[in-house]
Amino acid sequence: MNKAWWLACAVLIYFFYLPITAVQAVTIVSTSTVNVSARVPGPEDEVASSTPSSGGGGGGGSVIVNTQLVLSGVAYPLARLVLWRNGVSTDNYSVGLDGKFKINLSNVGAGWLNLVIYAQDSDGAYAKPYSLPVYLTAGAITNVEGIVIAPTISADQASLKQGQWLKIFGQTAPESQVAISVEAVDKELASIWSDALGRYSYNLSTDQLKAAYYQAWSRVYYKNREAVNSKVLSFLVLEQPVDKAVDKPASPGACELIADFNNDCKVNLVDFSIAAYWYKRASPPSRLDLHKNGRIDLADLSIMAYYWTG
Amino acid sequence: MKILRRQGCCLLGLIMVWFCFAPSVEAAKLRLLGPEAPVAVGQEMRIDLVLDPEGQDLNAVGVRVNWPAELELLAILDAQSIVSLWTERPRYDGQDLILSGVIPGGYTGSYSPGGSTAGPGIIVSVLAKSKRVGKALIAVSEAELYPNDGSGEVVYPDKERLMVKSSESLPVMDLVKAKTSDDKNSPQGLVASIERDALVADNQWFVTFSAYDQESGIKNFYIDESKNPEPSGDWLVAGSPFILIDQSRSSYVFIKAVDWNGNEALISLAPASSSVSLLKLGGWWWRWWLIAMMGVGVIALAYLIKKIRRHYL
Repeated sequence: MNKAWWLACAVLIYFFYLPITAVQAVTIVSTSTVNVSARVPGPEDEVASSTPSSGGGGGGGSVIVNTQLVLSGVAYPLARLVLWRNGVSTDNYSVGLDGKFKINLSNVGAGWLNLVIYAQDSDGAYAKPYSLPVYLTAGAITNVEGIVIAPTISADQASLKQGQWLKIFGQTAPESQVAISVEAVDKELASIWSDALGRYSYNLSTDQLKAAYYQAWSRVYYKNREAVNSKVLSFLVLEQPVDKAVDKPASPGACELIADFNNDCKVNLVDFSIAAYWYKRASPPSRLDLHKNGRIDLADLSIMAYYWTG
Repeated sequence: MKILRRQGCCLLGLIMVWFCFAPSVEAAKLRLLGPEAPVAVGQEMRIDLVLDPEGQDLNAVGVRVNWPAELELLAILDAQSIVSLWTERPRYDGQDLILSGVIPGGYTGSYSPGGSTAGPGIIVSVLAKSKRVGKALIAVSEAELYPNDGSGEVVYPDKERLMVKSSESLPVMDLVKAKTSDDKNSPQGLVASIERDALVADNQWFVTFSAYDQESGIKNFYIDESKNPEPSGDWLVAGSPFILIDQSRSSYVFIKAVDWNGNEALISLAPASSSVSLLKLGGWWWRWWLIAMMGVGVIALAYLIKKIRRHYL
């Protein structure tokens, strides 16, 4: 009888606890809250184009109202914004000194548009893409306001000895609160402020860290309300004097971009095609097998999508 | 024995209390949305496979849906899909609806006017028709999602089913009209490039391409390899990547994206320097050819003038 009780308990724990821990392991979103609205364009909207009437003889013209999308928010000063439409880079925009942006897209199709905004800071570091599937009403101007682009994050070294200092830095919205977190360290490690150019920097002491791989990320609190996470930065803390052989992780390619199979310093449609060619085929090249399970499957493509540069 | 039983009860009680107060994290959900009321036999209907990420950031989805024999599948539409790139374009294999694809940038939910929170998004829509009286159960049989964190670790979503009831006595109404006929616009964002890489097909040339259509959706891509600057008309249905038939790269490659209402977008890729391109007017060779010919003409004219002057002076 007592065995049956323990068995029942074990089964209960298995069926309840396991799914919850599995779910908790998943990335939980921390993107900004945006406001989406649509309105019919009026005569003050410059983007609407007008064509002369076909009747001739002077007089009025008919206004063709295009479906338009206006995106606004904050990135970082002098950043470069790239828009992807359905995973393909289409447009580039430069951000001014205040870090704010407003992008007008005219002649876009009505319906659902899978839009991603991708930022590169003034040092060339890439931010986590901002995903924005949005519904565009035909003939209306759809406004998406309040976009906060994720901070960039970099470190001055990929591996270091215990006791050495690791400089973590990046760029975000100007004069905003930035929290630095390191995996295995409780809560947020430090709270700092970005400067007028959106730059932030933090020196991490590795005195208390055991020899292992660690992950760090930053989070911006824009105007004290929007919390947006950066990409995850990996670094290695070593017990021994820094060994040249493990100083740097194995280079995935000439540009050190994971999933850049053709070494063109981009992870884009061409790399996707290379992986798609081997999708579920036997004996794929080991370089393509990002998930290291002997085949090219959706797990590999998910890893590629994470490192996508467009 | 009684003590052990009490211990077991206590443990169970603790577990129940823990589950009541533990922070709950919802799993992502795959839903099937369709008609809730009974439909008439022969009635067209739209069924949406929808992803609710429940606060998670996801970037890949693979789904297999058991399709009932009682429903005739008329069309599979991906115009409103949240999936940007298909590894397996949605297809019906006679028993199941199968699809997989990725979302670069991740997916946290969809935004529509008037809202500030992200809602669920459509993965694929299916136009179907009831074939006979009775119940038809549509169920997601396999599903895997992947988080947008570079880990490649699978997440299993909650799966919902949809029961469609068909009745003879109901009139056939045009409740859901296939909007494909309203689409007057060509597919957008057609991009293509010819590449070769030792990792693909023994370093053979291949063409990679992509496009999207927000209204009726892309029905098919076609490829035509032609020796002339115009398509030959031998269009082949193709998926990306497509290994080129003409590996000499002396052909023009035309890629056509066609939506469900027949609207087309076309792109052409010129051959590498070859005999074919030499025949094309306006090419780079043509400018050099003209310059060379003009040079020869000038020299010949100068020579002629010199001859004439010598002869008469």
